[in-house]
Amino acid sequence: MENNRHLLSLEGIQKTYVMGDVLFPVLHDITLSVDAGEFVSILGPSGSGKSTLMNIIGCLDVADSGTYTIGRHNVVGLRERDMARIRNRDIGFVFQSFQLLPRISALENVMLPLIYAKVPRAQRLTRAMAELERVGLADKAHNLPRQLSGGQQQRVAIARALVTRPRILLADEPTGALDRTTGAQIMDIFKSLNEEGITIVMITHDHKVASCASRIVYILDGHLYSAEEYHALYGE
Amino acid sequence: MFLFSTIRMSFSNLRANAMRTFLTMLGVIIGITSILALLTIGRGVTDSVIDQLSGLGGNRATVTLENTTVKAGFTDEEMARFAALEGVDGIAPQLSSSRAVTLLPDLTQSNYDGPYTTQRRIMGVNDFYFSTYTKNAGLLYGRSISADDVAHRTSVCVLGYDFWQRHYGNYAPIGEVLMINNSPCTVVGVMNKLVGIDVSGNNAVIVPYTTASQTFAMGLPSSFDVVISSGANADEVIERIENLCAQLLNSNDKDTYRVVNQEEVLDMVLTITDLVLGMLAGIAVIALVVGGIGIMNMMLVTVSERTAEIGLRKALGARPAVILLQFLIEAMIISLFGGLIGVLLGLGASYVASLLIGYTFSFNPATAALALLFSLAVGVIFGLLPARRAAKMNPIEALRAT
Repeated sequence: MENNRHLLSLEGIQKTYVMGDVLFPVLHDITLSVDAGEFVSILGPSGSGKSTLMNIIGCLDVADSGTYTIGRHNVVGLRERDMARIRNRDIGFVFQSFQLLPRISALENVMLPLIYAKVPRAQRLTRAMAELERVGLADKAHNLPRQLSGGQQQRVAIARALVTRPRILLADEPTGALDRTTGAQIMDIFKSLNEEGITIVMITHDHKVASCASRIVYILDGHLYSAEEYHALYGE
Repeated sequence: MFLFSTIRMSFSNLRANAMRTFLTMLGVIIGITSILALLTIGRGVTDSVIDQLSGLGGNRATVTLENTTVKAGFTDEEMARFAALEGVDGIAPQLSSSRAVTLLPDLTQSNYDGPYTTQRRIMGVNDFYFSTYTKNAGLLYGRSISADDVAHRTSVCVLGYDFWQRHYGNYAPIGEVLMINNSPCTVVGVMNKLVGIDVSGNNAVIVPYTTASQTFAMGLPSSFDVVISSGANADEVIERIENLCAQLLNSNDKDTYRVVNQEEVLDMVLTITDLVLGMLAGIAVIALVVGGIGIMNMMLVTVSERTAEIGLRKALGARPAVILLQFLIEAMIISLFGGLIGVLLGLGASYVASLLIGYTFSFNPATAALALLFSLAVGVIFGLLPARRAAKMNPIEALRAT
């Protein structure tokens, strides 16, 4: 296997939490590759280790062992400031609870990652505005988050995730806080973004949501299975 | 550019909690106000003390007879020997005593309807008193007491400003006659109001000391001032004065006379003022430290309240240093603004104090700059711990805090 070909590649990832004397192994020997342009769902119930996996993929957490590369960057063993740079440039986060800053406008929320990327203000404005247009919220640019519906807030969050033109969009239960209809609309946005060529990795416990992706991998008790392996073990 | 966005962000955060921000700022405001007011008032008062003491005609020493029955006072000849010492500009004997003074005011001019008698202070001085001690004040009317008056024991007097104003209203009483101890005395001048430390002349009738001594039965001066030349070595001059004292008293017993150098008195006064100011400034610094702890407390609360925000910012790519800077800037804004308000209030307070106490108000930019720097340092020192806590926060746990 040529690692370099993949946009994102995890191999032999292990993660164990220590609480006092007790060890909680969370991830066992995870190996996963995602190619550019893919839309991958990681499907698993709560307690399966999927959040830990998402944190590792998102460079919010580090694995105990194994290798992880994004593009040509080897992530394992990086300093916190370099991890921050990767989060800023290569990863766009979409959270279940939107995580918009309440006191600043939608536009300013979208501009936030560009501040950390040290993009000049004029450029920040045009790029953030362009992303808001892409998610259909250009007219709500100056609204505060609380003046937007849940679905609109999540669209702002998607615009914010895309504004630095990251390599992957990493979504953690993006429809978890939304009703079915709105959730479906968000998934439509994801699908069309993927058609535009954006790589998406989505973590969910919901089969229906997961099925929007072009590929599903299953996580159960810290083990990752491809669809075939999973079906062979547990059936459909 | 990045700094600018951070500062803007900090302002909006602080505005969102305006009341809390203000209360936290109050600690710094109180600290800086008191430090600045104390420093400015202290400096103003000290400066005017120095001005007044040195305005009295250079360095002085006071020679006083004590615990002796050998001598009642110094004679003119003896005082002339002191005046002739090397490094001495002149001497100023002062007799001071209360005597019955009868006023015979001009009935067409005065507020009073007839002669009346009152106990007033009579000061016996020489011409040197006017040429050095009251030089700055000067005369309102007429002339001062001359060397001739002293030599010939003429019965003339110069009125202190308050005495004149109380008894004559506001006309020039030159040529009026007072009865002092039933002896007539002609008014030849009125002094301007004396300001400063030695203002005893304002309420007195000033006469030649020779006249006071003989005509008004006030005895020989047991004390006089020696004015030391500005170029002379004060210690050497003091030694010469002490030697002469010992010679005149025919005694080496230091208990029988005392020579007090004005400079020593000044030093003592300044030492005491410095000590008092230092103590007060110490208390003010404690107030500022308490203010700093207030900032730290508020910033710790802010950091824990905004855990989710910190997590999000980290997820969006804020480096630890950036998070640190953001919270440090918030702490610095609080302390710097507190310092700014404190400087303004402190200057205002010392201006008001200068009007009340009567020293000249002076604004020292260095003191103000120092106070601002100090308040900024308080922000940095007490903001560092909360900011570091924010910077070190684990993004996963922080994000979970929603």
